[in-house]
Amino acid sequence: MVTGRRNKWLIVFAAVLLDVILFAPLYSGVLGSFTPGDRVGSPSLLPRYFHWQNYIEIWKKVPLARYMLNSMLYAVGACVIGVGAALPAGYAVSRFKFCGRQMFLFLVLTTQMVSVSVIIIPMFRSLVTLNLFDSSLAVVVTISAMPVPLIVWLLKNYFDTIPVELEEAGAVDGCTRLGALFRIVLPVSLPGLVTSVIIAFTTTYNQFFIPMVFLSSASKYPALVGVYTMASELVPSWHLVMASCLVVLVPPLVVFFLCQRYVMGGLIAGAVKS
Amino acid sequence: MSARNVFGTGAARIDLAVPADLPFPRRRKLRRLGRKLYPYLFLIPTAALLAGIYLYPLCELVRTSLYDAHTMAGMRQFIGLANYRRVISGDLLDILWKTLVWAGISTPAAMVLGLSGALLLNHDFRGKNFLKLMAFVPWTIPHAMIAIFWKWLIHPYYGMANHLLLSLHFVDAPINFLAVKTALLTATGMRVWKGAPFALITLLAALQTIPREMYEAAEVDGAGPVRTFLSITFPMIRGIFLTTSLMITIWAVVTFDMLWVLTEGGPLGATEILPIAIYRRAFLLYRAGEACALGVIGMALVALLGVLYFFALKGAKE
Repeated sequence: MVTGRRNKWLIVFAAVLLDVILFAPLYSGVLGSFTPGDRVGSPSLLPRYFHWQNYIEIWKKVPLARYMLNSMLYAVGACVIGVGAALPAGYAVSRFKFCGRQMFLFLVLTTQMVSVSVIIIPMFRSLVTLNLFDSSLAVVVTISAMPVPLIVWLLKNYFDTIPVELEEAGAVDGCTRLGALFRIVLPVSLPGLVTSVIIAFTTTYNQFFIPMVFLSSASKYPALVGVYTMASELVPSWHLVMASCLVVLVPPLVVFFLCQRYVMGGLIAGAVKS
Repeated sequence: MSARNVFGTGAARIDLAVPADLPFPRRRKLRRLGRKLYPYLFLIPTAALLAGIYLYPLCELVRTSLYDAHTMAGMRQFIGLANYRRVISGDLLDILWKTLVWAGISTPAAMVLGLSGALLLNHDFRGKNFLKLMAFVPWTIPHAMIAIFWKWLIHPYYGMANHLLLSLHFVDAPINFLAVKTALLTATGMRVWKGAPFALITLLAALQTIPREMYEAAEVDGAGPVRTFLSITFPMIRGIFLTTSLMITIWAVVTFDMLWVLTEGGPLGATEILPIAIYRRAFLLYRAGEACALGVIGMALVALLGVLYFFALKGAKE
């Protein structure tokens, strides 16, 4: 939009102010993580300390490496199951016209409105009956379903943009439909696949509620449940809690910054899909 | 349903789904299965996963709500609607009121903040993309961790928020942001902080689909900024505005992690919104039957919002 010079500065100022507000909690967290343990009681607005030793101490005091490894394993496992399940569905709803196609897409979407706090009670009861309480496998399978609806839609939208002629050419050359899917469609739709994997990874890495309820032994906790137990101690060592939080945030933030265009685009597509 | 471009340019596209009769050579087995059944094979993994994780528990939820059930043990006795009666005559209204305050304040606030941000970032200036990216970062932080950051920020003695208020002499003594009277509002503020970036990004994507010529025409006609907003900008993004706000509302109603980590529903149940009340009944009091009854009521509420969402989507398309 065309704007005057003074207005322009006002706009930039307001936008920066908005960002500062949105960043305040993170900023205070970063400051806290660099504060020495005996200085936590005297807060300040500007960075006063650079006690990086906190970031070494956390690995010794808390089984953070174990937590992070668990998180990674759960997220990767859930990613494989989730994307693996969503991929054929996304392909089918994009390429075939069949009875109940719209219904399927709609039903998939409605699962997004189900509250985890509601379905977790019957799931927990089934786990207890099946003797699967405190099983990491149950956690992985359950959280793998969380990003599936969004991914089905995302992949459908992506496959829609790939011309059918490509597959027809494959068919003429004697390729089966599955062969065409693996040899022609998937290589072409790599960006869509990458987006799906990123969204699946961040969604599952960020799961907190399900692992908290499903697991009882601390050695199986994912990172989020781990830092939660640290923060909910009677007298938490806040400098260490904040340092651990920031370490745990690294994988999703790295993924976000590397692939921010895909992630944002995917989320927008998820929001405005129609 | 028309498909939209994945990367958010928002342009409607032609549906490319084709009949399943491309000239692929078929293997004998598949041919026998029949042309009609073939597409459904592709849906099996997703359908199985979603049925196992969503559909089956939902059916069980309804069944359990009719029984006298303990969380760790089996069903004891069929008691009809007694659980519902107990929940309704109990603190249901109180819980719904807290949920309403939480979702009803945080959603409009997040939408207003997000819309202002989107309007600001819709102007061209240097560093705009950086600010946009930064504004979106809160959305990528997991709920549970946002609550930990907030707990630290608003800590009565260690937190930066109180330090700022004290040094500006707005208050004489540190405020306890998580006291009985203030906790729900504090939590609502946190929710706004989480919802606003999402609103900002989706609304900005919507704003960018408005053709520049429309603004130029408005300027020629002598329309001021307010008039331009009311007559051009808002009508053009109304559909996405509506769906985004409904999504943020539904997320607020179903979310558990944030509020649980911040307050665990306390102090004295001051922040016990629906999901937390359900969790407390099921996993702290072990009254699974009652928890499920409350869950069914909650899902009915969300379904109502979902119907609204569906019609909003339909309306937005026209």
